[in-house]
Amino acid sequence: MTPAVILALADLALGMLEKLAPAIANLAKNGDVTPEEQEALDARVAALRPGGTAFGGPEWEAPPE
Amino acid sequence: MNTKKSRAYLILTILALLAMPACRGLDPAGVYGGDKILYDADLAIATSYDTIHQFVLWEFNNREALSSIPEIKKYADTVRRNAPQWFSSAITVRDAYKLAPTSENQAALAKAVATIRAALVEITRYYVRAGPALGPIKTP
Repeated sequence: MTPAVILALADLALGMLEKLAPAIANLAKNGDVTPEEQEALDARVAALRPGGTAFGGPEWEAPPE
Repeated sequence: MNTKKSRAYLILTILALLAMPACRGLDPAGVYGGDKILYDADLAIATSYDTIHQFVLWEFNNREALSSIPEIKKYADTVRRNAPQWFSSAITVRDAYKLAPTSENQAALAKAVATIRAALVEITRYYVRAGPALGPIKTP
């Protein structure tokens, strides 16, 4: 393993840690999920109900089979 | 963030989603009334949608670069055709479980969530297959 590869891997690992830190911090939170957090999740699921806009963008257009 | 990091982050996020039951307890004063099964199902549904949406958006925004791997567009189109039904079904059984938290409804809910999660496994395979040589992942 060359020094350049080691540096690239270290850079990758640091980048991932930087991005994952908030998620890891969330997992490490103590205490219960608050009513506000629960309400936010409930609203996210409500937005996925039929008739919503979740599947309405051009990226969701599929050609006919 | 460069392409390799972006893709590695996406793959790690998907793997975390697949492995994730939420670890925290629920405040019983919340809308879930302390029902951890319902909360975990909703968490799986919502986070799975985010990942699936990101996948179809990625394929849409990088279609030309991904044309050398036609299976990716084919699977993205499969997702486009079926995802609304997957989520609709999951939410229907979720509502049934909320009204009547029986073991049958719980099993139906688990099955619906498993269908969505199976798509995440496939998506991870296509991210890995696309490899780092392709263009950057364009996300919203």
